[in-house]
Amino acid sequence: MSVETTVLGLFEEIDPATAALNRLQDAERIDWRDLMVMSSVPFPEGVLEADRSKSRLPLITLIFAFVGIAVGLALAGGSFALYVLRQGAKPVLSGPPIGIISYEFMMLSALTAAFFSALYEMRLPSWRSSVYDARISEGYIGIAARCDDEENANRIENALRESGAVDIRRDHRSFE
Amino acid sequence: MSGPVVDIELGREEAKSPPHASTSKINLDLTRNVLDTTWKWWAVLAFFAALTGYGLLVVCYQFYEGMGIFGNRRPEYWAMPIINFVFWAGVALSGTMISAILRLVHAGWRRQLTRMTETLTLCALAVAGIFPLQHLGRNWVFFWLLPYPNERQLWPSYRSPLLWDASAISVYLATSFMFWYAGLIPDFAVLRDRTIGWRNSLYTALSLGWRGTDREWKRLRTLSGILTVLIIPVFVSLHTIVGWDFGMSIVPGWHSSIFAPYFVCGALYSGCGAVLIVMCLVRHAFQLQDYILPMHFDNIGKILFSISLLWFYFFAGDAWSDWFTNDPNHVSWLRFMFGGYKWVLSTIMFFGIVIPFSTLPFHKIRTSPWPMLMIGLCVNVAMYTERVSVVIPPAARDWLTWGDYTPTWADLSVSAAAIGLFGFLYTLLTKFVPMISLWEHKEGVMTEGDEHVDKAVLPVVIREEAIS
Amino acid sequence: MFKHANILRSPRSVALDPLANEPIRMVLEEPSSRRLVKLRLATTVCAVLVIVAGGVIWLWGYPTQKNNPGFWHVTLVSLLFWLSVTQGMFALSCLLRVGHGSWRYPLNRLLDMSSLFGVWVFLLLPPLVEARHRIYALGSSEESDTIWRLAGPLAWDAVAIGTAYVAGWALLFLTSLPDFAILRDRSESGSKQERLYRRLALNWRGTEKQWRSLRLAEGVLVVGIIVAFVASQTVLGWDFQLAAARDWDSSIFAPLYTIGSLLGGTALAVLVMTFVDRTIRGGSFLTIRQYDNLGRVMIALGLVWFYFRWCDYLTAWYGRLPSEWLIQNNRVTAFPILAAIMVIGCFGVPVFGNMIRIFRTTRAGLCTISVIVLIGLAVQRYLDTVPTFAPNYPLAALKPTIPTMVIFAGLTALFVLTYLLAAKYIPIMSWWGTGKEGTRTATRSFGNGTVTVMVADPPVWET
Repeated sequence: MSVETTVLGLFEEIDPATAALNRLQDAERIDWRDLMVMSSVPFPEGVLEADRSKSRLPLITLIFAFVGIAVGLALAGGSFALYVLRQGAKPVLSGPPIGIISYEFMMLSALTAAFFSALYEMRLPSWRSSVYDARISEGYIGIAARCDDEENANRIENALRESGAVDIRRDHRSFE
Repeated sequence: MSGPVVDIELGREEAKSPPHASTSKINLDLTRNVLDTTWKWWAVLAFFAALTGYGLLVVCYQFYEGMGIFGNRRPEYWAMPIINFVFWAGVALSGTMISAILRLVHAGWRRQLTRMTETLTLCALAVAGIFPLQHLGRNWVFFWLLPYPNERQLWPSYRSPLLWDASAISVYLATSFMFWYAGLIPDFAVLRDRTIGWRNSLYTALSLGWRGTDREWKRLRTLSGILTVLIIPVFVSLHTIVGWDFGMSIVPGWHSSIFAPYFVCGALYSGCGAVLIVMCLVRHAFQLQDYILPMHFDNIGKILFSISLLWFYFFAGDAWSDWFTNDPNHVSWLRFMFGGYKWVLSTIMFFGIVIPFSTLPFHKIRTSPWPMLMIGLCVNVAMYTERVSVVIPPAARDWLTWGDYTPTWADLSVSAAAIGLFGFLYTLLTKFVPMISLWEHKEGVMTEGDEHVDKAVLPVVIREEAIS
Repeated sequence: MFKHANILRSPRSVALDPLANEPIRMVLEEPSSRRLVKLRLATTVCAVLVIVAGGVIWLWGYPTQKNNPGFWHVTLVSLLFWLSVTQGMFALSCLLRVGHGSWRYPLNRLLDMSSLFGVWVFLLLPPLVEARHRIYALGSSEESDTIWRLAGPLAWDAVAIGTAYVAGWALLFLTSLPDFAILRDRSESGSKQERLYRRLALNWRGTEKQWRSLRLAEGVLVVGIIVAFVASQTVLGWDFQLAAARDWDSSIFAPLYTIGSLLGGTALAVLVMTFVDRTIRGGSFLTIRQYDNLGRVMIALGLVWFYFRWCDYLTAWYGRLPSEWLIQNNRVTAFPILAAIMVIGCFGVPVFGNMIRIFRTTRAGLCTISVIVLIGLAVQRYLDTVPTFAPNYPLAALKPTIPTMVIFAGLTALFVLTYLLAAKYIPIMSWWGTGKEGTRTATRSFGNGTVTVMVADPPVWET
């Protein structure tokens, strides 16, 4: 009977954690979607990375920058054209103010989109109970591997133990 | 050219770091301001609350009595409220400067300062945002300025720099909040794991379920990169537009193309001074001497010195061209500066030029927290006075003037209350937010180390990748 | 865990590195015959252009163009353009030192060499300025606005520009001392080369005291050059800003020209760097890192340039004071194509072009961007002065003509000639600078990745 479970190993040092991750990826052939590294500190790029998902953050930021420009144009330009207010000999629509308002809305839109899409890609907020150990906040590195049967779980446990995990346990909470 | 692969021990040696520096110790030290509350904190909060309350009473009195209780009059129709607005908006520039610009140039020492300076930005911006509302004649109908369909057949004129101002402030407030909050999420997770009761519920909600997975860190790194790069033009545009409140007019002394960068530079200057004040006070109040080091004061001092030179360059450039050309249209404001407002000019010169130029070149002063606090205060006094010199003399033109402008008790009360509000907000936030970013500090500890060669101890660092 | 492997590599390993030695070898040894032909051809072409340009100015211009202010004005503006971009180059070198950019080492000498252009500036600028004043005055009496009026911006020009260049020469010379010593030691004993470098090296032996003094001098000069450069470009901006007769007192001119100068210096640095990289046999320390970072610097400078330009325009646009607006508007309406080239060249291309990674990280891409930037800056200089004169002189008199373009080509040739001559005697890349970078970085395996570990550079003024 297959029951999805996650094996979580805690490591004190980077090198054993790296060894464990490499072994799980190469020898045990665990798919990257079933692997997770948890830490309270970001590592330099390329170090202890299991996730290979692509980020669309820059693209979304760019798209929403254009949306912001459109909103600014509509607000400062479109609204002027709709509610015409004659001021002396000044034109109804004037370029520089519309440009400035469009710029401000471009930045607001781009940054807000970046922020929320980052949260989305991080799959946050997620207040339900998930695989985690509070000792990670105290500096431990967590290597979590998802598996769906006892045999795989045992293999993963062995790999983590032999790599130097200080604690290993099974966590039945949600992986993501 | 890459050298041989060497193994060096990364992580600060004991002499330079807190003894037995471990993550737990760092967590303990840096969450102390949140988890431990002393009577002193309550006393400080009460003091600032009282000051703010007094200011609120004065504002209520203004609703009742009218704008006449302030010193505004023809021709100085723009006085203390706008001076306060420009000053606090300037102070608000500092946090983003420290976080964003220093991150862009890979200055590793920024890590211990980013949180307290970003918090400074938010609080200063909240205070600044109140003044445009306070200086309206009928404050209670401030919402008429908002662009929503209405029956008044009037629409906010986006042709006015005041509306650009409103947009810029709103954008900066929103974006700096996001910048601040994004960096806080991992620290809220640590607080969640270390607290119980209502605090645990609060931080569970605020941490959004953060677990520190590699996916989350990768996205946070990308987000930080985007925010860093984009927030710089936002804060530059904020104070540029504040400068254009004056620069777009044709009042002699205001109509000057250099106003925008001049204001930005002045904002950075006062912001940097405010950073020094906050650094010193937070360090002392929460016993963070092992984290905010003399090196931090030294580096901020160097930045302050560079900015003081740049500010003086813009200030002199603006005054110089008016003086040299002796154009009657432009030179009248200078006459005021040497006439009835010479106390303004002297204050700017003494506190903004003489004191920084004569103290900041010295390493011993730059690495001493309390002298640097005094210099930060002097800089802010100078910059406040500089805002007075920008706003009052050009408006006080030669004709129809009834003597020199003097602020009234109401003006001074509201100015003091602004300090009270800022202090109140900042003190309150120190109870909920770690004043040093835990994850950034730990990242710094992990990626920096010392190499012993002969008798020297060389600081080594992992090269940060460029923001791509 | 800590092992007894030093992060500092021995200088001996640098001495054996062929990449580090190639610039030294290029000075010591005669170039190959093919290269010699190319060098001689280049030098000859440049020299001919310079002589022709000189002839156009003095033999044709001076006698026949007395009623054509456009001739002198365009000639002067061309020289000011080259003055500003060459000063921008060595100012960039100093700013990189202050900013501790670890990628700066191969570039410093290349950029510092541009200060040698100052020799030509000293020779050409005063006579040009005086000739211009003798020929036509800017609406003021003849003696009130000449170079000899010490209370005027032109005299400050001389002091500021002179100080910046002299400081640049001092920095170039002092930082070349260790390289001159290597050249002295590697030259054939008793040869002319050995005698020359023995004199130039000033008994440099690499003692601790000498290195400390060099570091101190470098620190002082770097800061001084930045100040002198800002002063120099500011005063050049004030030539316009303080000309009350033209109602042209836009206070942003000084910083605008300072930034324009830095931007031009960065663009020119890319072109010089590419040329040098292609001429050094076997490769050099110039990698994609330098291109990438210079591209990023260009983005920042382009944005700041646009910001200043926009402040200038918007202040005049919004206020609509007739005299101010006339000048601003004239620039765009009378010369729309030139105005577009200016904005595209100084803002559009360096900012948006460099945002595209493929342009920023390839030689062809970044060189194309740099050429466009330089064109934009040259057009900017022209546009900023022409509308000022437009109310007083017919526009036809102020347009660039074939002779003025020949003069511009001659000044360009003068710049190339400066490098050709200097590279003959000074190594184009600093041996000790690149060696310093190489001895202070190492690669470490970190987890399952590789990171570069480097010694954190102390500030240049700390000895």
